Amino acid sequence: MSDSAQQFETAARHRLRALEQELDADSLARLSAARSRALAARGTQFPLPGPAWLTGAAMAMVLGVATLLGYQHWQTEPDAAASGQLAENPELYRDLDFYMWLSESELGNRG
Amino acid sequence: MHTSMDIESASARRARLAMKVAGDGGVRETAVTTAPGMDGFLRSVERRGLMMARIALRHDDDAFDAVQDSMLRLVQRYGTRPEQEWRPLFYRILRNRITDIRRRRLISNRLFGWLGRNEDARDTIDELPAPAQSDPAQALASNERTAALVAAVRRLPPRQQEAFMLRCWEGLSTAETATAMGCSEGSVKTHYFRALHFLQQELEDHQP
Repeated sequence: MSDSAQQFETAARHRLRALEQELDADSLARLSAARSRALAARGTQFPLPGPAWLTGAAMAMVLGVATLLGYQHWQTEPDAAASGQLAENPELYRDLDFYMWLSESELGNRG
Repeated sequence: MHTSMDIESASARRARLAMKVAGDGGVRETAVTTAPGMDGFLRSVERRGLMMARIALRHDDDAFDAVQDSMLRLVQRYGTRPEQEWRPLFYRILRNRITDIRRRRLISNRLFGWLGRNEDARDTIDELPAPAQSDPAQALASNERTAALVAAVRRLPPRQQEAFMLRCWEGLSTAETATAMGCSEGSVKTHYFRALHFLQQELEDHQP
């Protein structure tokens, strides 16, 4: 930095800092009040969310979505399971009529 | 009528009294007692922070809001950091608040500019007090030079203005200024060099 720039810097600093000392009483009172409020707020900070919090929230979200999807899947599953089972066992269809006739006959004989 | 010195010594007196009472009680340090570290630090930056905010924002109430918010955030979020970090952190927070207020004002002006701006909150940076000097002519010249300097600093582009206020006025190192401005040390040097060059040219007739 050149000498003239250094001299300018020094003079400017001196002048600006002198300006601070000429603040009016009202401004100083407002600053004092602001400082007091800031100091009084110590210990009242809500912790900022950290990685652990975010991970927990993400996991909860995943579990919630998974539960929802699973519930929806379960709602449709019984029919699918039943039809699947029947599809795997066609003989059950054939024998079903027989067993139904049998039960009706037995009821008729008893009656 | 209270002077600035009376107001400060009254506050310091209260703090000392609170600490003395706790000490006489001999039981414990209460949370009410003022921690000298943070209290002393805030006292050391509040005036300068306000003046910087006034120059940057040209609006008294906005300037006070910026300084108050900055104090609050520093205490709440960074109060447990090492003390040597407080100064660049405070000015970084203040810089961010000034930027937020400028953006908010820009949006507000675009939306409601046709309604007219509220001029009740005055810009007191222009109302320089009469300096207490014996030679009125010298005092007037001095006052004019200060006013010219402030006006020139206001005309600086935002980043150069920040660099100048932090490096020259506050006296932060290049590294600390880089932390406060959120940029590299090389950028700080560039901004500061350009700011000094501009101000020297602008104030050729009003050397500080």
